[in-house]
Amino acid sequence: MDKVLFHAGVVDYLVIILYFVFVIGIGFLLKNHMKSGDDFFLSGRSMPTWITGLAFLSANLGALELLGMAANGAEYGILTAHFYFIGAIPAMIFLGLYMMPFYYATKIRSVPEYLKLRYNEATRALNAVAFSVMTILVSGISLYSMGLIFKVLIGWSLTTSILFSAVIVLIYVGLGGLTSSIYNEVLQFFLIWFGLLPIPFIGLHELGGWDKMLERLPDSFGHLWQNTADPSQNAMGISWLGIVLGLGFVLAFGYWTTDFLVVQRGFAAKNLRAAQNTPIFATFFKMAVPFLVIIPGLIAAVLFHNIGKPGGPSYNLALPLLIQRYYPPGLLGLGLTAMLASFMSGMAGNITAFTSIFTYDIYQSYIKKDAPDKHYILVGRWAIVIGIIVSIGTAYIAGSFPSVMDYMQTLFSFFNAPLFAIFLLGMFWKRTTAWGGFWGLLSGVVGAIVLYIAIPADFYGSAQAGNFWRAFIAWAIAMVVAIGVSFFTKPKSKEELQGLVYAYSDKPNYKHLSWYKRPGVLSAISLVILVVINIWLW
Amino acid sequence: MKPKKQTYFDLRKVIGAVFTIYGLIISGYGLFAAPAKTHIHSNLNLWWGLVLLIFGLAFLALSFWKPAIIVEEE
Repeated sequence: MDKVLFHAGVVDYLVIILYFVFVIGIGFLLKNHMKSGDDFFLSGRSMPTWITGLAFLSANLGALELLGMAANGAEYGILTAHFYFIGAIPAMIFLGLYMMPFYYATKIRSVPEYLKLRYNEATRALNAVAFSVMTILVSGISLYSMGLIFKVLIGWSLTTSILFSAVIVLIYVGLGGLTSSIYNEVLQFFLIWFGLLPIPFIGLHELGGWDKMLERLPDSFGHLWQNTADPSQNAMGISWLGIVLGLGFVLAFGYWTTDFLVVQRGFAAKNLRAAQNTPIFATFFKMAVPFLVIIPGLIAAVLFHNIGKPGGPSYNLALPLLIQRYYPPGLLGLGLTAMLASFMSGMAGNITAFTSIFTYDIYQSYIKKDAPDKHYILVGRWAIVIGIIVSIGTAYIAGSFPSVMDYMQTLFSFFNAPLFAIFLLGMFWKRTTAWGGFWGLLSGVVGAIVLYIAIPADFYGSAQAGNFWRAFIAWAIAMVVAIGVSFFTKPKSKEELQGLVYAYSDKPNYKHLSWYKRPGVLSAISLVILVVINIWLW
Repeated sequence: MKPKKQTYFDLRKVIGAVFTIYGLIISGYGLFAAPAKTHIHSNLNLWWGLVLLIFGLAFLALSFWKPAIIVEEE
């Protein structure tokens, strides 16, 4: 496509430039606060819940998510919202109620560090290296997608967009570390909402309301569960069992509870209760996101008849096409800023997570052990520079894959699903041994890759269905191997496991606090809302 | 762990400032230039700009009313 979709005017550029001034300004304001390693990598563990909660959500609300989910909405309908309901909420609540106490109370600084304490050095090294590779690949995917979008939208060349965006992220993360990343994520959260919220309202107004819109779409587009008894009856080609086990259980729990990119936001919280409430608070906003991305997808499917068809625009352009249709100059600048912001938060999240893992779990563990804090901040800043340079490289690799969204889900099914099995056993079964953990993790990852190569792509109803089932099998392999090996190896002593497993840890008690501060009460409210939404959209 | 936790500048002031400025620019542009789109009959810039302005001012007001203090609990 040579044609540029938008013609941004002076006022639009003014809005976009102001955004960059603020983003970089935040970095400079925070620079002087970065005194210790804790400040730079963990925000000094001082953030209130609303900030870490919104950052938790926004680190995941990248450009790929925004454009990809609107695209899926246009292609599959409301079914896509499973990623926001059963595919996220139970896992986020589980993280807050049961897993955060282990993460926060042991004062670990990264997910691999927990694996070292609970299992052994080898398990940590395996996870740290796998995570670093995966994060840089995903970061490259975001960089490439955004470059592509800006090329189509405002006519910058792919290389200009990629380099420009990389430099901005480099400046603000390099100066202010995790705090800068978190502050910007919260700002981005509001920009994304206020920049895109007019679209579903105007769109539903133009189509004459919700029911009128559904009348003009295939029947399965309006239901979450009704058409999932037989996979051939819905556009995604998936059964309810695949959704519950693959997406709802393994993929969701694997991603939300062990992926350092999101979990790291909870580590920055000011105390254990704030850390626990971080993902729980985020669930309320997570459930609202479909209104912002999937409804526009449905609107686009009605309005643009040739979307996704040969000769028509790609599904990925569902959201940009609506911005072009509805936004006058001025508001257009805000809409473009929202998309830019979503890219920034995805990319910066990956870079900060990579930096912490590299500095703590690779550099400090294996290269230079006892250096002063200042040294590690310096190493962290260099890791950011190197991480971004490598991301620019992987951005061009991502460009050579036909579907980046499927490619990313496949990566998650390789690494996150087995990792979740190892965490589950490690935290709740004290008999799991050090080598049980290591071999379970390794065989799960290898098993997933073997399955990916051995089973032909057309065996499943769709690429998504394949990912769901592969994740579930990889999880099962890791469970079985870890349990098996544990029976033949020596378990860790009670002293070594203090605070690391459920049986030997202090259970926080919040009975004396008012209800809106208690993680348990907030979780229950969130689950009730989840059930109501699922019944309403049945 | 350090005995005293780091206090950073108040994020609410930044969010308030961003949205106040955006609200002024966009509603002002809507008021004076009144750009229109074929699918919408009302002045979208003006109305949405006002929403942004109110949101920005609310955040600014909140940050001055209740300054952020880090209270150590637990």
